[in-house]
Amino acid sequence: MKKSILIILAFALVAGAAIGYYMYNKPVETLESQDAAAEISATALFSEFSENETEAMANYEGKVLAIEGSLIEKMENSDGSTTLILDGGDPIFGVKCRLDPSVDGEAIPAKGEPVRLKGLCIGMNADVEMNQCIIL
Amino acid sequence: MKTIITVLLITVTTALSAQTKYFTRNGTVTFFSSAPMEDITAENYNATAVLDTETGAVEFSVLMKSFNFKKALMQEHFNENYVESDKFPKSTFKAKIVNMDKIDLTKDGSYPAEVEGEMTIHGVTKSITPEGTIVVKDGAVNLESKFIVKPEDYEIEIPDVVREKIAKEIEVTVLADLEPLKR
Repeated sequence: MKKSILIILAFALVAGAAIGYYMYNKPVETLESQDAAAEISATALFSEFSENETEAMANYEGKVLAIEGSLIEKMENSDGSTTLILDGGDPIFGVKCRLDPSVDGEAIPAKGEPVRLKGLCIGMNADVEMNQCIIL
Repeated sequence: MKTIITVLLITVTTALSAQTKYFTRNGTVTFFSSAPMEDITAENYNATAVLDTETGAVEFSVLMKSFNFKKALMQEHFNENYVESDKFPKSTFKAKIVNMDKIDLTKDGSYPAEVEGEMTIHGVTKSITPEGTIVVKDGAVNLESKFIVKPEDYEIEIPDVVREKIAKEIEVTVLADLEPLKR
């Protein structure tokens, strides 16, 4: 009787440690399986942020958004990942979207083409920023 | 009247030809923490930086939530417990390159830059004087710098439980490939 309790306890301990180790080392998940909380054009998103940043932060920050807009700039980052700028209706700034490193370069449209993507909205720093984006 | 027009024309043409503002929106800021239990790196590839070569004024800004970690739990703890990204979404560094007059942007080369400025992280502003390098090549201006940031200087509290996993001194590396600002 005592022995079986000990075995169960030992088992629970090992399982607990394994779960803990797994949770601790869990990588950042891609947004592939997450549904977008809202769908919005890049120009509408940019104008909402420029008109009232506090309100736009409350509405969009930390949310997965599906956005659509015209691709005006493609930049290669120092790690080889790509950042896209979508036209926000402003002469200099727009919606800056860092693509997830897993995104296939072939799937990125050419400059001037429309693009639709899903990403995590993280706020405004001159440009409205989106992280972990994937092309839809 | 003619003189006024000539003066005006000269002023306008010099203003147009003298490119003094350089800019990037995909600068790299990484930090590295080396502690007995674990080494941690976080990378941000979307830093914004502006350099005015006439005055030597330079400004960096990043959104804290664009730092990418390898482990989900670390990213969550960084944003929620340490830098409190919801309360303080942005970090900035507003500085001046004090020896700008010794840096010749028309000549390719690597120049040491003496920087003095104010760093704001977690809502706390500190004066720092990091050293940097400006590399000029084919009209492009690259900034590089490496310096130490102490979390406690910015009132970032690291609980004792994770003390062995997070260094007291974090090494920050900044790289920015700047291009003339187009209007």
